[in-house]
Amino acid sequence: MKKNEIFHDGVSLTYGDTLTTNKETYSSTFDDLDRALPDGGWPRVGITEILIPTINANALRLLLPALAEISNKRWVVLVSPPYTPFSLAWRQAGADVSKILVVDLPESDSSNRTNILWAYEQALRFDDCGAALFWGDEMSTVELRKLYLAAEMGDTWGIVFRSIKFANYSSPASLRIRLDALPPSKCHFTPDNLSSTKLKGTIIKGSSYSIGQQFLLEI
Amino acid sequence: MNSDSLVASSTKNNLSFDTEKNKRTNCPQFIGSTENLWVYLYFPYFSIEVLVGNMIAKQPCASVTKIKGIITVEAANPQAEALGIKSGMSVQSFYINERVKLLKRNQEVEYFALESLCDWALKFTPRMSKVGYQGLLLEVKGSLKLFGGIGSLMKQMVTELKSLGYRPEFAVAPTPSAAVMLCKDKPNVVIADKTNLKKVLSITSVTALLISHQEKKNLRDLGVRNLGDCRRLPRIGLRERLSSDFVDMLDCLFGDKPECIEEFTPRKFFESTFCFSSEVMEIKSVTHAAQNLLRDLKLYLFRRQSIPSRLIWRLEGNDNHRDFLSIRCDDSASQESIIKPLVSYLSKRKLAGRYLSSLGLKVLDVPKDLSTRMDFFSSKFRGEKIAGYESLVSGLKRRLGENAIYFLKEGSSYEAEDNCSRRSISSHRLSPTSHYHPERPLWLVKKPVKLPVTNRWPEYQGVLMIKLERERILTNWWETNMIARDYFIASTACGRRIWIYKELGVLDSWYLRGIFD
Repeated sequence: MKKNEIFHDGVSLTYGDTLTTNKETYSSTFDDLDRALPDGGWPRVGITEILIPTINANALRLLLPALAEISNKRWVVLVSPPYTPFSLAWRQAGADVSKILVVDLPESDSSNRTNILWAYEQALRFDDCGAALFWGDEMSTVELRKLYLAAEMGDTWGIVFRSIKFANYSSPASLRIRLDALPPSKCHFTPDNLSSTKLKGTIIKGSSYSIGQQFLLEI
Repeated sequence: MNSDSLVASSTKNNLSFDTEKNKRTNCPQFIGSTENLWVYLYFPYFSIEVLVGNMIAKQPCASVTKIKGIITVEAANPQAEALGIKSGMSVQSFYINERVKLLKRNQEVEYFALESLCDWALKFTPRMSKVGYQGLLLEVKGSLKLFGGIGSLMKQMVTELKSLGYRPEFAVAPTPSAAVMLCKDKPNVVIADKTNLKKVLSITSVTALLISHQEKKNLRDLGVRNLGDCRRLPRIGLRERLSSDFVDMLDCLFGDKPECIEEFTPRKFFESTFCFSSEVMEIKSVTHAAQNLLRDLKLYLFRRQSIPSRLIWRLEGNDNHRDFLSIRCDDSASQESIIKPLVSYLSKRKLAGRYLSSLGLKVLDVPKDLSTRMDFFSSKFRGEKIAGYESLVSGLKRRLGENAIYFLKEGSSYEAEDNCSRRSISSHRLSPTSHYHPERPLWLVKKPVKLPVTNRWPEYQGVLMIKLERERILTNWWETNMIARDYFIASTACGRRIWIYKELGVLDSWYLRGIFD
């Protein structure tokens, strides 16, 4: 981060990046992640795109504390999740499971894709929805832009999980994070303590100072 | 715009572009121009098409109207033309072939149909004008880049119009009056700039001009054969011999004088009528009419990116009695759900023995109108908030079905993991259930997946590393479905953590149950 400069004649130069923002955020509870994120936490409104190498990349664990906090005040909607969410795990994380709604269509075909996108847009526009999560894949910029507008309309935090192959595509999402799962080290493999995986995250879109910020987490 | 020379084939209803042909015939070339470019779409069979739609290609049809007490043919489709029936012919003057279907021209229906076509055309340009009852003028200069040039734009227009049941003819020219005139004289011609327009108009016969027969005769008497001859005559003399209006019209044609075009103003509400050629009672005919009206409504709503909250069907009978059927709708409404109440109402009407002569559709309350808000990304275009979770859930259920939505409530899944008493069993200790909170996976697989076993050891994506501590669940002894399992946290070779269980008392019965994200 750049430092402000004060010149000899009393003129000071303030870099925009250093200005404190009044944006409210949700703490991720991971210090490294909070430091890397713009405004020191997850945004409360807008679309956050999380680019993951595979469906199972421990991405949801990063969000779980914030989602648990949200569920105690507003609704959390999961659209087209890869598996069935387990209520006990959510409760363990402190979530109010009675405020978690799941939208899942049995088989994915072309008509269901439209329906799923529509359902996600509805969730984003829902005024009492704090966060809406969506596991999508190929989405056009126009579709993402519409979702972004819907999220702004509903004051909702939209989280879209997409494949890492879309990292180089342009996107109207206000925050984009790329996650890479690091290969497990041998010391993790002890039967007494099966350690979780290590994740390396890179912010590829956000406010100017946060772009390129990296964080390493063990979940 | 493409700098290659292109020309549209003048074959009716067969749009093709041929560069070689263009060079041979020295026809106008497409060269970039900063002026306006007008497309004139003319629908020669409009009065028939609005009544029969796509059925026009199947049977000889002619629309008729009464002029001075004589029933006269207004338009005849190609099949009818092949039988010798032409526009302007009186019905009495030819033998009415039984195969030829005569349709009474309905200008009200034509008006609404042209309005719907304007709604459709707004996707290409906001600048347009209606010409008579069966023509549309569109200014498309600003849209060329977006649609990939005039060639692809015209192809798209013609293709879409054909799918809507219309067979248009068109002409493209830098001035509106030239586009209108050339469409009738040289259908499907494209002239992109004024230089070429002047060349083409100079060799165009004066018979193509939209003037009276007397004025044409006067021109012939002056020895004028084409518009080039006309322009070479002294203007003052031309004004005296013909009229000032004629000279002004020539200037407008060549683009030397601006033209006043009445611009199309989008409707504030939607109304359309389908008139049946004969009185009907069959559900099939009415459904066909309803589908046509809904297609027009779709064109109207498409531009507004909005949905009405209420539709009104108007059913008019042979006895001039009108019934109105109001239907509430929202964004989850489908075409079937809108037609269904109409059909059930018609069944009752049928029982009463009342025929239907026309079906109308009206929408009064379309909330958003882009014509007054041109900024697509302004806050006004972000749609409406959904207030209350009941309206969200009911909307989702209506469109996706009851089973697609569920709440994540503990115990709601009736899974064994939710309901059974549990206890932790490690190699050293036995913890009481009440103080034990083992880690749970975020995801459950829908059905437990049986794992392959090698040497009594389960495998999943390679050999599994299993945590020593286990959790046992047991159903109570009085329950009928006895469940006895040991649950383990395991890790795959690539470090993915999963939740597996072993059925107690069954050899090698390992199952994948959950995934830790």
